[in-house]
Amino acid sequence: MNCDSCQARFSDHGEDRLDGRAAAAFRTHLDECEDCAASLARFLDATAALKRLRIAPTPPQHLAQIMRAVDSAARDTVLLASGAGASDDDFHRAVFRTAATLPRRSERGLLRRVGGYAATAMLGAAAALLIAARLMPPAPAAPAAPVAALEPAAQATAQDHGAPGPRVPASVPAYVPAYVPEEQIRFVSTGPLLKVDVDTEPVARAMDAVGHRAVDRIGASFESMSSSLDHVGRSLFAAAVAARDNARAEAAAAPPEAIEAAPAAAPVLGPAVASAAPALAKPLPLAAAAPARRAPPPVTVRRTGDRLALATAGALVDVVPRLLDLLDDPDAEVVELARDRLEGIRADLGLPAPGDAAAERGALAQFTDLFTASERSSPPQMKTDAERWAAWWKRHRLEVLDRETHGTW
Amino acid sequence: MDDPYAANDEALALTAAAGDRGAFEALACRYGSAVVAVLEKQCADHHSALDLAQEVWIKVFRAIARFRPEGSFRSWLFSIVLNHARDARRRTHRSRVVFLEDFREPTEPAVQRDDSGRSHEQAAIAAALERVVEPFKTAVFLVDVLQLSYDEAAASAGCAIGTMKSRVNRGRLAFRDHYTQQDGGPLAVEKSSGAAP
Repeated sequence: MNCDSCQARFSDHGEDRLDGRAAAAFRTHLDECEDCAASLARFLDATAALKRLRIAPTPPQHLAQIMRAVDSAARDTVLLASGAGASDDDFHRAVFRTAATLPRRSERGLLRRVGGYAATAMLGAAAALLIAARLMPPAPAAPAAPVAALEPAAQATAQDHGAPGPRVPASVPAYVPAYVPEEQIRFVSTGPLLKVDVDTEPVARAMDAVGHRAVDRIGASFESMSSSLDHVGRSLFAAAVAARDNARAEAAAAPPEAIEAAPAAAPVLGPAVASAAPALAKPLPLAAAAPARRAPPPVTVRRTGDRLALATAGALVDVVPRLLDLLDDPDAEVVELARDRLEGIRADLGLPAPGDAAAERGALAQFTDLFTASERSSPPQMKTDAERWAAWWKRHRLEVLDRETHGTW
Repeated sequence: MDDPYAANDEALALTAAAGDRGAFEALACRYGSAVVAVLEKQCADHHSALDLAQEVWIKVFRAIARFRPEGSFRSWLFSIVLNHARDARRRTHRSRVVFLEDFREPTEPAVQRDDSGRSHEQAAIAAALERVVEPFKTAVFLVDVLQLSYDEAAASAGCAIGTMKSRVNRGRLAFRDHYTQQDGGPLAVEKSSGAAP
């Protein structure tokens, strides 16, 4: 054992934790080394002195202060939890008992912080919108395109939509002026005004440098904030210009007489098809500033010259009711097309042909099962679809009976 | 509880967790001075230690429902104290405002500062202990002054028992050196009386 390892065991020796070979080696080294023996004696004296050290008693009023602080914390906890005060003779005891059994306030504190952040963000957004609304310049008037300048195909598409007239394609002007003059929001740094040349005290120089760094950071923050406001304003202005152009395009659309002035572009369709045209035709391609897309109509009937075309798109639950409506159209060609398409759908679904009594009973049972299942767990849409399918099926049966009875289709 | 001051710490803590204000007050009375002393060693300022002690007891009040009687209340309490002192040091370090008036040397040695009426020997011991660096000072204070066991001291400081034993031994060695070299120590007494060579 050397002197270092011997000194490392002073505490163990003083507390009688050395045993066996370690204690023997320790005693052997002490017998051989007078320095370590003297050091151990001083160590034991110092340890004994340490144990004589008494901690200073705190002032008597300190305990009262502690209990007042604890009572205040307990009262806050109870009031925050219950939302109301209390008046009891033994108020502190009651509040302490209630607060000690309450859960921690960390969750409520977290919610308060999150709510505070959300409120701050909302206030900032509202302020940005207010600034943008106040500083936005009047938008330049876009010239309305005459109806005659439109292509016939565009006019026909517009009338397929049921629009009173062709639309003017809206477009965002290439130049979007900044709504916030940059001179009004640029932060003017006051750093140089605060600069004082102090070259005598190093502490003063350090504090001066810290102050200048703080001012620079504040200036950078203001510049970043102004840049963000500028971006927000530009985006808002672009959206406002696009919305305004769309509104003008709708307002400047051709009056009804404009449609009459171009009869060659209007397709010759039956009244049922014409009445369903707003929902059946494909949408007019919108301007780039209006990104919202309309879903294509489920059924579209178009006549190009002598040729009549029927196009379907979307789910069957949307297509079939439209086709059923077209069966009432006075135009025989439209009715024939709709019937052919319904027959194709029937064949695709594996439904029996009208007149096949055995298969018809199975199909009706299938419909009954489908209707029952939709009543149990499916959304309400299924019930409506089942009813539509049942109506269609019933109509087919009546038509088959009528044809077999009267010999006509 | 009939006599809260006669019960042991764990029973008092459980009673306080059940809502007994008297039990909590007994605990605060029993360990109020020790908490202040530990905080005083950590932040070296008596008035700051008193303020921190209030915050510590509020923390203890809010957390006493989670105290488990399987452990020692003293180790649980002083772990809160040491953690709070560490957080306070970090806060102070982050937001410290230094005034130019504070840049001056202390005119009186710390050994002669005797605000609470301690004797000269007590002041000398306290001054020598003040010169021991952390974490050895806290280890010595917990074990030798507050009479915590090594297990309790290790749990309070968040270290292993072997680490705590090593810290205590090194802290005692450092304290011995400071105590025997300062003016009020036994070595100085021996020198003044002519016993030392």
